[in-house]
Amino acid sequence: MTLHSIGLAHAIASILSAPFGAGSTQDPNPNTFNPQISLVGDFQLRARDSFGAEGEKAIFRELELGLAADADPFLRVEAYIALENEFEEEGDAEGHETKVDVEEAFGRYTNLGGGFTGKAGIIAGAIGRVNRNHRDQLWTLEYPFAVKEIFGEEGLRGPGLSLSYLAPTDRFIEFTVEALQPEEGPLFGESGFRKPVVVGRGRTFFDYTEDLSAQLGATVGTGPSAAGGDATFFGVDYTMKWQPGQKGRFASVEAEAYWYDTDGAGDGMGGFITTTYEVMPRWFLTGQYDFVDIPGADEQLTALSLGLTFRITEFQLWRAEWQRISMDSAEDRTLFTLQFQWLIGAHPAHKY
Amino acid sequence: MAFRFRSVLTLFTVAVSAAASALNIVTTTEDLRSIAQYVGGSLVKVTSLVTGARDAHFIDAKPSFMAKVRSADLFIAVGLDLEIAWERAVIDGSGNSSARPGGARHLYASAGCIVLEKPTGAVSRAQGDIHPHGNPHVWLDPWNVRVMADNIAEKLASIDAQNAAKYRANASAFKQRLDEEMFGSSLVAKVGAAKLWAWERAGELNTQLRAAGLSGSLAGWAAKMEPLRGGAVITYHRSFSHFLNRFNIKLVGELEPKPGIPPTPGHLSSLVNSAKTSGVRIILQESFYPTQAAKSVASRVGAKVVIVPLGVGHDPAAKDYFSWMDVLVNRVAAALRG
Repeated sequence: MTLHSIGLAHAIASILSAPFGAGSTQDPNPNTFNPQISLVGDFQLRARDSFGAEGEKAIFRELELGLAADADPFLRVEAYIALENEFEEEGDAEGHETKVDVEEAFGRYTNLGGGFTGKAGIIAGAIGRVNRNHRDQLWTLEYPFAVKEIFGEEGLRGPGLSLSYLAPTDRFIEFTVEALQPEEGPLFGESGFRKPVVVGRGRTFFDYTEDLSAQLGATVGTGPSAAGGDATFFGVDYTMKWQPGQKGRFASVEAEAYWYDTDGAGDGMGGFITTTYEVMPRWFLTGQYDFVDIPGADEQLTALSLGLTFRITEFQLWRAEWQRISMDSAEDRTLFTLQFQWLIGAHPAHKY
Repeated sequence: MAFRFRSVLTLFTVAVSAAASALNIVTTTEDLRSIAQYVGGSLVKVTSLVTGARDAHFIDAKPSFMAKVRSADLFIAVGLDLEIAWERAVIDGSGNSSARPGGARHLYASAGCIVLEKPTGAVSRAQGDIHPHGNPHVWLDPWNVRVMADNIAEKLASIDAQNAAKYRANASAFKQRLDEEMFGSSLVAKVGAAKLWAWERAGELNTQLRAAGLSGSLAGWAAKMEPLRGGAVITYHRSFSHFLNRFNIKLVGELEPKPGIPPTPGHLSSLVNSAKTSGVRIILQESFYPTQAAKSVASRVGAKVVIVPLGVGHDPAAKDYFSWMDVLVNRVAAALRG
């Protein structure tokens, strides 16, 4: 046996004795038990306002800190805390101030068994699709008026409990029931443990082709009305996405509509449709039509937005948005705003 | 007649009960689906979440994925952060907590694989959308796929102990075929797969075959790629490193200046200079990237743009791991020869 073949024999022996499948693919890391941390910055410049509102024209709209980790084998915890500014409006009594807002902070159980999952804490209500997205996940600068004017500036959010059931079927069919205590908003008034806002939602999903898919949902909710008595609402939402494998090609259509009825302030409806198309790689053109009967105000608001987004990487974007807002009681208002948004830290989740 | 009817009924009952009792495996990619199907054989039903020619890194956590994972007996991902943007959202949404990473029904198939390009020193996104645990495209190296097959077999054996021997035997048969496709069945029979892999991994395959008087015996993928050893290529993204490393082809650079960052004119100009110096003859690119940058560089360098499938399902002919590697090897070999 030559020296070379002895070395080779050792090499073969070491290969054959190498443990297959042992250990993890991830290297041990001294920060293993630290939560995933992300920070989103949203800087906006109001370049034009036909109302000529005085005050600051550039603001740091939001700085959102996100934390997520498994607390133990049973519970995953996520928290999103934001420092928020808004453009000062003419006649604002309080002036310009920065607010701290806990957007969400919940624990989620995914091991309840039988297809059930549960959440407890400050949660975004399971109404439609947009309400559960954070501002950095929108195709527009702000939530649609149909959501803001019916459910509140940040949508329907608050302390509460959520229970979801995923049916054991080939097609995705999920039902969710929630009890929430949101801040007083246009539709719902002061709620509490004994009289919460109760929301029920069902949604399903369609893979029409490998490239084309859609989600269809329906939501119903009831709770104490801001005008006294009870308020109820019913909503439907539909999102369709065209996502071929080829990079630089994307299109989506999102539509939601809500009908509400209150004991004290009558009934009405609101809705929006948003379409987005990737006109060339990383450049997205978005159009949104939005309308709402403002609860308790006997007034309808409509808005049309056009936006162009340049998503340089997954971690930063620049956006220009033109918006025209019409109300029965006021002149039309035209806004033109530029946005610079970035993300550092944990890789963003690709939600549908 | 009655006998025939009973026979048909029995066969039908056996088929239905076998289908019902088959382990339900959900994989993230079609490469994993193919390997898991070979290892599980008739004892498993395997579904891939990602289908067709798309980048497994840029996938939305579709609710339909959650419905599939809900009833999964085993969830298999590549790992190394390839599916980081959507894997956890899908599993959490499914309510199948044992399919969570670290759970009894979850497997990162890349455990124990050779992983190239592990970043050293400080890691930040200033380096692009890098994977801190190394290049996750490990299935492009047939050696790694042997490891992945063993990982899957051991996981299945832990879940379904009474069929453990069957899973291990299937994995051995899969590896046997892989070895034969890699080196040729005749050479594997003469020398043995372990020795061939040891030579290959030590970079001594040719030397040892010559010394043993077996130079003309090499067949399979290794033989097709052999004349191309030492050649130089450019790729769009750093996806093919494991394939190029296995067949000793030099990667001169990528069209992306950094992982996940689209090509820039300045970077392409400097890449053209490197390509001319290194004698680059082909630009390898996945089917899902735009081809303008590749064509521009190719025309300035005198190289060819070769669109190749990155995995199973990325090409109509790439129906399983073997046919996919056939397509990849044949297309690269043909382009470099021409």
